Amino acid sequence: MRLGEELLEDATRSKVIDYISHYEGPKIRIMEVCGSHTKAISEYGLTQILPPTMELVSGPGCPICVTPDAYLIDIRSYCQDEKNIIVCFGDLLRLPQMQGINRKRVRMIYSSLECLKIAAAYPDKQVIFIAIAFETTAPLIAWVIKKAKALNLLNLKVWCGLKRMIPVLNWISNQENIQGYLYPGHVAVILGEKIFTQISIDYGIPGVIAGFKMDELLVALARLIALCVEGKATCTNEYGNVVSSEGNILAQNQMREVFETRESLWRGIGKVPFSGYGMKEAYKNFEIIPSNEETGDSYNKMGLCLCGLVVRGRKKPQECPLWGESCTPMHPQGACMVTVEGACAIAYHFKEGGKNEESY
Amino acid sequence: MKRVIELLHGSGGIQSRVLIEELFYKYFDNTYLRQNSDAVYLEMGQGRIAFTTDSYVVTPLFFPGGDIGKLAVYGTVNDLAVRGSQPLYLSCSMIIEEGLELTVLEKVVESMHLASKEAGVQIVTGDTKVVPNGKGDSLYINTAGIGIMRHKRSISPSEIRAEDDVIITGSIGEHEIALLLAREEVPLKTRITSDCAPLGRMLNTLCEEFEGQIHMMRDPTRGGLATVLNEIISSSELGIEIEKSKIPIQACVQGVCELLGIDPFYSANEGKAVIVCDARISHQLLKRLHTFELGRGAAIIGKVVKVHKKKVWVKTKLGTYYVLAPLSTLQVPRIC
Repeated sequence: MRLGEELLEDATRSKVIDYISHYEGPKIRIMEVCGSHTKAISEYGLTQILPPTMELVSGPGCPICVTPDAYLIDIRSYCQDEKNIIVCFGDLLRLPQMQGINRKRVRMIYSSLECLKIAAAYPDKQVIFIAIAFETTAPLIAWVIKKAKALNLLNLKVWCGLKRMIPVLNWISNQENIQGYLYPGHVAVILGEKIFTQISIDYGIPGVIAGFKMDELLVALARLIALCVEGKATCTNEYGNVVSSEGNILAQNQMREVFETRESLWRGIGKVPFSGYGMKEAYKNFEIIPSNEETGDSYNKMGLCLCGLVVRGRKKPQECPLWGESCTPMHPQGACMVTVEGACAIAYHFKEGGKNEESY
Repeated sequence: MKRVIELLHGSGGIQSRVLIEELFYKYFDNTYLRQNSDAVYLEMGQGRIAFTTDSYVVTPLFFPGGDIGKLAVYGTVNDLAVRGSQPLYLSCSMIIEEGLELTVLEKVVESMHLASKEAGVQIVTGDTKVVPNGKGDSLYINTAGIGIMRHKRSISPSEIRAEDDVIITGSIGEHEIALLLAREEVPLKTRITSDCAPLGRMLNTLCEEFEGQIHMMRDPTRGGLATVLNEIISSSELGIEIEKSKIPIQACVQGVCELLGIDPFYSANEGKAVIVCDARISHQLLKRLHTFELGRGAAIIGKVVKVHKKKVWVKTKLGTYYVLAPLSTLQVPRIC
C-alpha cells in the first residue's frame, strides 16, 4: 500500500477532475457515510471542484454522533458510583452531556486492549469499558471480551453501545433522498464488498467503496458519477487493495462468536431493528446493556440543534441556526461539533472557521 | 454547572489561549505579559534580555530520541532562541514523587547536564520538592531561562509584513508521534524518534547574518504547526497561505498519522522553528539553514498575505483551499 495522497499521474488526475467537474446530468445527492470521509473531503477541498449538479451530504458514520442522549445519561449514572472505573475513548468526555462528571473515575484510553490491564490492576473495582463504535472496532472489542473471559477478569464490564452499519444504511435508503453512496472504506475492510453491493441492488442506489486519500476519493467520485449516468444500481470497489469481496473473515468470526444483533437506538434516527450488537449468552456476564428507553425524543433534547438531521443527510451543518454561533468546538451543543469525525466540527474547522470569528 | 480544568486547557490550542487571557492576564496584566510571546523582552541597564519559563510533565520519562531532562533544557532554550536571544542561564525546579528510583533521577539529571552543555547554557539555580506517593506522576520539571539579545531588532509578530515568506526548519510531527508510540497505547513499532534539539546556535547565527530581515520566529510545540501559524497572525490584519505539498514530513510519521487518524499539522515538535522573513532573502536564508544539521530539512512553505485576515489557508495539490484552524480538540486516534 502506498502512503501519501498521490497515487495518480498528474495528467490522469486532471482528467478525473475534469470528468467530475463537468457532470451536467440530473442533480445527484451523494452521501459520504463515514466521518473520516467527510474529514478527508474537506481537507482536500474536494467540494470546490464539484459541479453545481452534485451535492455531498454527511451520513450516520460517526459513532459518537449517533449515540442518543438516553445512552449518555445511562453512562453518566455509572460515573456516579465510586465502585466503578469508567474507561472510554477521549472524544466522549467532551460531550456536553458528560460535563460535570467526576473525572477521577474516568480513564481515557487509546486502545481497547488497555481495559484488560486496568481491570487486572483494580480487582476490587468494576471496570466499565464504554464501547461506542462500528464494525471497525467491534472485532477488537470482541477479542477483549474473549480474553477477559479466558483470564476470568469478572470485574470488567463492557457497556455495549456498538452499532452496525448495514441496517442503518437500509434505513437511510428507505427514508432519505439519496442518489449515491460513498461507502465507508474502513467498515468495508471488515464486512467486505458484497454486502454493500446488496444495498445498492436492493434500493437502486449506486455506491462506491472508497479509500481516504485524495486520489482515491477523486476516483471514487468519478466512478460514482459514471454509475449514476449509466443508471447502474451496483457497487464498485475502489478501495480494492484493502477491501476484499468477503471482508475480513477472522474479524467477522470474532464478532459472530461474541455478539448477537439487537435493536439499537440512534440519535436523530430512532430505533432501528438489528442495528446494534449485544453479547451472546456465553459472555452475558461481561455486558452492561444500555438503557434503551426512548426518552420521548430520540432526536435530542437541545431544541434548535439540528444534529439529528445532519446525521441522516437531510441538513448541512451550516443550515443549523446554532452552528458557528452558540455551537462551536469550544462550546459544543451536540456531538457532531465535538468529535474529529463529526460533520459540524469538520465544517467548522475546514470551511470559513465559523460565521463568527472566534476571538482568542 | 461547575467549570473545571480539562486536559484541553493544557493542549496549547484555543482553550489554553482563552485560559491565559481570561484568567492570568486578567490578574497579572502588564505590558511585558502583553508581549504575548515564547519569552519576554526585559530592558536591563544598557541592554536587553529575554526571559521565559516552562514546565515539563511528559510520560514516559524516557522516550525514543530524548527524555524529560533533555526536553526541559531544550524546550526552554528554544523559547529563548526563537526570540532572537542567545540562551545563557537556566533554573531547574523538580517536583519528585516519593518512590522514584534514585538511579532514574540521576539519569535525568545527567541528561540535563549533557543537554545544557550541548545547548551552551548553564543551570545556575534550582529547587527540589518531594510529594507523597500518588500525588504526582513520578517527576515534573520546571525550567526558567535567561538569554541575552546581541542585536537590537525585535523578533515579534508586529514585525510581520505582507509578502513575507514562511519557512519551517524541518519535518513536522516527530515528537508527538514518538511519544504516542512510546506510551505503548498503540501497538506499533517504528523508528520514529523525537526531534527534540537545541535551536539556539542555529537561530542565533541566522539572526546575526540576516539582522532585521527575520521578522518572527516560533517553535511549533504543543498545538503544532497549525496553531503556531494561527498565533503568528492573530494580532495582525494579515493572513497566511501555505502549500500542503511543501510541508516536510517523514514518510513513517505520515504513515502513523494516516493509520491513527491524527493530523501532523497539530502534532508537537521540539526541535523545529517557524521563521517568517523578508521574501527577498528567503532563498538565501534557506540555503544557510541547509548548512546546519538541524536545518537540513528546512523548506519555504508559504507566504504572509493581505487577504484571509487572521486566517491560515492551505492550498491543496488540487489547487483547492481550506482553512487551517488552531487546535481546539484533543488529538485522539480515531475509533472508526
